[in-house]
Amino acid sequence: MTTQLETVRRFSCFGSRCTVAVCGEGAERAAEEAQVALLTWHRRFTRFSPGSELSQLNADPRGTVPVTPMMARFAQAAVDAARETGGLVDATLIGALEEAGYRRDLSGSLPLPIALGLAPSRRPAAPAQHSRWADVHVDALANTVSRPLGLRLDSGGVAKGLFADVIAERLADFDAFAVDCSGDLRIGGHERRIDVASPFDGSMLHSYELSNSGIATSGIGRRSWLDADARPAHHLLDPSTGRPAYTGVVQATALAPTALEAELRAKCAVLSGPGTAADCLAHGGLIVFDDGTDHLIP
Amino acid sequence: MLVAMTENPHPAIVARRRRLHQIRVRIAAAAVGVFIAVFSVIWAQLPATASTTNAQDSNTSSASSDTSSATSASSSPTPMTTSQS
Repeated sequence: MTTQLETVRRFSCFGSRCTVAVCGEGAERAAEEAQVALLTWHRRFTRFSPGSELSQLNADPRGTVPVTPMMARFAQAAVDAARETGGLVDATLIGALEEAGYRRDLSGSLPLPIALGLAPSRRPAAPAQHSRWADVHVDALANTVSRPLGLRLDSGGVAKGLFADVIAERLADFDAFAVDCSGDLRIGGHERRIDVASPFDGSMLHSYELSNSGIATSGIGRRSWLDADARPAHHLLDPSTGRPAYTGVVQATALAPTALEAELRAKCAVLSGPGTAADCLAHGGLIVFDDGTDHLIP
Repeated sequence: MLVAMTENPHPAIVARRRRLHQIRVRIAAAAVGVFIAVFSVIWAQLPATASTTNAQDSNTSSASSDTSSATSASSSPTPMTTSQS
C-alpha cells in the first residue's frame, strides 16, 4: 500500500468531540471548511441557546415558519426518522426531556453501573399515543416548516447524523475521508478501522474495517444524571411515557449506508430492548446489554 | 460531698473528660466532612436544580475553538472510534 498524507482535525462540537479526516489534494483546506461548517451548524441547531435558529423556530408564534434550507432538511429528517422507526425516534419530546432534567448541555455523567442499579424495571420503549411528529410538515421548495404552536423540535442525534452525511457529500471527490459527529460517522474512500468503545469503561469491544459506510453508536452510558427526585435519568426517552428508557440495552452500534440511517438504527435498537434490538440492525452492528455482555450482529 | 467533687474534680477525671470531648469533636467534624463530600457529589449530578441562566451560559462553550489539527503520512487511514456522545 502506498504512503499518503491525511489531514485530521479534532475539535469540540455538539457538546462532545468531532473529527474530520481528509486524504487527497486540498485536504487541509477541505478539513478546515468542514470544521467551520460543523461549528456553524452547532450554533444554529442547539436548543440550549435562545438565539439559535432552532430555538427561534421553536418559539415562533406563526404556524408556518420560513427557515433556511438546512433547517428544512433537518425538520424533514426528523419527521422521516419518526416514521421509519414507528415513532420510537421522536424529536418532539423536548418538554419531557426538560422535565426529566435535561435543560443544559451535560458534561458529567452518572457511572453506568450506579445508574443501572437505581433504574426502574426494564421494559421496551413504545411510540407515544399521540404522534406529534406527524403534525410537522416541511415544504422543501418554499423552505418552510409548519407545526402546531407549542410543538418544539430537538436536533439531537438526527442532526448529527445528517451533518455527517452533508459533509460527506462535500468530500466525496477526495481519495478518502471520515467525518465523526460525536459518535455518528460517515466513512468514504479507502478502508478504515473503526473501533467500538464500551459504555462501561471505554475499552474496545469490536473493530470494523469500513469504506463508504455510515456507523453510529447510541446509548445511555453518557449524558445521564439524577433527577429532582433522585431518580437516574438520561437523554433517550421512551416516547410512550416521556421518561428515560431502561430497556436492558445500554448501547447499540449500527452500520448503514449513511450516518443518519445508522444513528436511527442504533437509537431504535437501544429503545427496542433485547428482544427486538437486532431487528433494527439490518446492516449489522453491536448490542451491549445491562450486564456488560455484547452481541455482534453480522 | 457530691458538690465538692463537682467543683474540684480529680485531675485525671478532667483529663479524661477533655479527651472524650476532643474525640466527640473529631467524630462530629468527620461526619460533617463526609456529609458535605457525599452531598457535593449528588448535587453535581442534579441538573434539574441548577440555575437555568448559568446552564444556558455554560452551554455556549460546548462548541469551542479547542482544536487540534495534524497532517500525517501513513500507509492506512487514521483509525477512529465510535462511542455514545
